[in-house]
Amino acid sequence: MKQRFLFPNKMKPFGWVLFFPSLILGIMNLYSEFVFEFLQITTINDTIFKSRPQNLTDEIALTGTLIGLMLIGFSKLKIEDEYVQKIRLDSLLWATYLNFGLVILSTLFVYGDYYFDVIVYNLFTLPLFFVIRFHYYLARR
Amino acid sequence: MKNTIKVERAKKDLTQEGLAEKINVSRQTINSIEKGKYVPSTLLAMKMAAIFEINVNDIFTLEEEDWN
Repeated sequence: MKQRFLFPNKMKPFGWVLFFPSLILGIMNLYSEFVFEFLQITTINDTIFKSRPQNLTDEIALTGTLIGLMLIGFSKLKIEDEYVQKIRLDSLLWATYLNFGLVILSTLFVYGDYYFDVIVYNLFTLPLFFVIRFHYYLARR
Repeated sequence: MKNTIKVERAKKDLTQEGLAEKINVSRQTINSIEKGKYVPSTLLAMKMAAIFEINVNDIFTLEEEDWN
């Protein structure tokens, strides 16, 4: 069975290469406010807030993390058969449930500034849970 | 669902890997089907039957719990 909507197998290594450095960069940025100075820009035409300095380190980190996870989870395996497709879709459903559950719990129990962290993590936890569960079941089959 | 893939493979002197290559799936998929962990699609079942030169019914047998 032909599977549409998947990346070629050779994209998968790029996913890993992109994911790990981006994730580490993101964590460093979030917790020790690490920034690359050369990514410093001043926004223009920002009429509401006037122009103010911006650093693109967090944008790079999040974009890299998401594209990395997407390539890891949605690239074809060397032998992409129907069982792999079933594991992939099951993992996606499972990850979605887990993510919903955690968001609901955090909404009920996390308040104030900490809720901002919940929103930040929520940007990439769904694909992260998916990739972990997918590879765990691939290894176990 | 029970299956006789292991027996049929032996008759044809095929390893899991050998059968997998013939029907374009991974060895792990054949292993999971043999153990009853995964029920293959009709397409894959027909391909296996073609390789073994028998009917699909001779490979797979329904069990009581499959009706639930």
